[in-house]
Amino acid sequence: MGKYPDKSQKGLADLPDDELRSYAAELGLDVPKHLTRADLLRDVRQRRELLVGLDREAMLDIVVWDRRPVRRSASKEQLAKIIATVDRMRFEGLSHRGLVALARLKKIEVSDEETDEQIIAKFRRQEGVFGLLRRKRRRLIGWAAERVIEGKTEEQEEYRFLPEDGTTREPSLREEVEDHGVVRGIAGRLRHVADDYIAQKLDEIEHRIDEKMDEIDARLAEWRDREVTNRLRIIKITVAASLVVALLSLGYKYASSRVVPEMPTSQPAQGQPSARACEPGAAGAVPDRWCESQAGRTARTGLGNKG
Amino acid sequence: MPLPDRGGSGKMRTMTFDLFYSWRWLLVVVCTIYWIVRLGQSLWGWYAFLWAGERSTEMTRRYLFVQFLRIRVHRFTLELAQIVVLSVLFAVVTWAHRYV
Repeated sequence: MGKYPDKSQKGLADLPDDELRSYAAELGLDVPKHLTRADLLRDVRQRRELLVGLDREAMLDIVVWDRRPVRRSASKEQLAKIIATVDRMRFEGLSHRGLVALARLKKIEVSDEETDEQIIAKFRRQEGVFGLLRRKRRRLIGWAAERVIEGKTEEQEEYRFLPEDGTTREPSLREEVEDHGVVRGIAGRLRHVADDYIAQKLDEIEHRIDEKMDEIDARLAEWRDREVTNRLRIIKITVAASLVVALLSLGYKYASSRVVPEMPTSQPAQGQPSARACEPGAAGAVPDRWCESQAGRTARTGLGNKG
Repeated sequence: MPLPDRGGSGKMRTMTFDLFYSWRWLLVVVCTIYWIVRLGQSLWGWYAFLWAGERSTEMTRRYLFVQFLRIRVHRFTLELAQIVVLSVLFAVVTWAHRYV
């Protein structure tokens, strides 16, 4: 938050639009493009007032419950930004104070006296039908993915906060010599320098490996898309070939029925009557239109049914 | 080899051999059996490879699954639309056999 040196109420109003939007996002606020500056300022002020009133331990309860990586010394603004992305709707394991804090950060009106069930009911009302359906769909996909990828659900380890930054001041050479003597002091200093150098080199190597892995991943994704396209083309060609064969069959059937109308070359289709069904007294109801078409064909070709 | 019924009733059933009709049936039977066997072989091969239980194949399985989930259907809209149109045409032509 050091980017915004003056965050007092007056300083907020003086911030340029882009910085104000960045600051609002850092507070965990949703900042749509159409939001006016006045509305944005109001939201930021409300969020700051809310953060002042919230218990920091309650906010830590939320990130621990959702197992988000965070340092214990994280500020309220940092915690609010992380909590803004929490969409979990199974509240087992979350303390009451955490539940209240989460509800307030999600803009749900709750009081400390309300029970967990009442607060959870408000969460579900806010989620809506579409949100519920989306969550159920994700749960189903997650279940299937877990079965395929993990095979079985493993017990979760106890949550641990991220290690704190090494912001403690490194002792000077004089202090080290004073504490440990000349040889151990200089050796310690050399060891620190060597450790820093190795850590830096390891970071560089890790970065290069990550870049290479990203490159391989992008190539594989490209190959996957190309492969899917080829498979779809094969399916398309197969369907097109089937269509050509079906057209040939249709043409053949039409031609054969024109040449020898009373001798169908293939089985009548299911539900289609035979020529004998038009004879007087034949069993089975046949539409007159079909019989008329048969008679027309006979007249055209001059081949009557001699039977 | 199937032979078409000429529509005769009772004892007098006239049977005739139709080359085109028989060829269609042969094509349907052969293609269906070939498709089932090849698909079964392919699925079994992938299953045996990916569920072998070794760590390397387990990682491959996970990676393939992730790649599968990352497929975006909208990239193949044109191909899929063409397949749908061709399938509809095929169904219409097959249905038209009833009225010829």
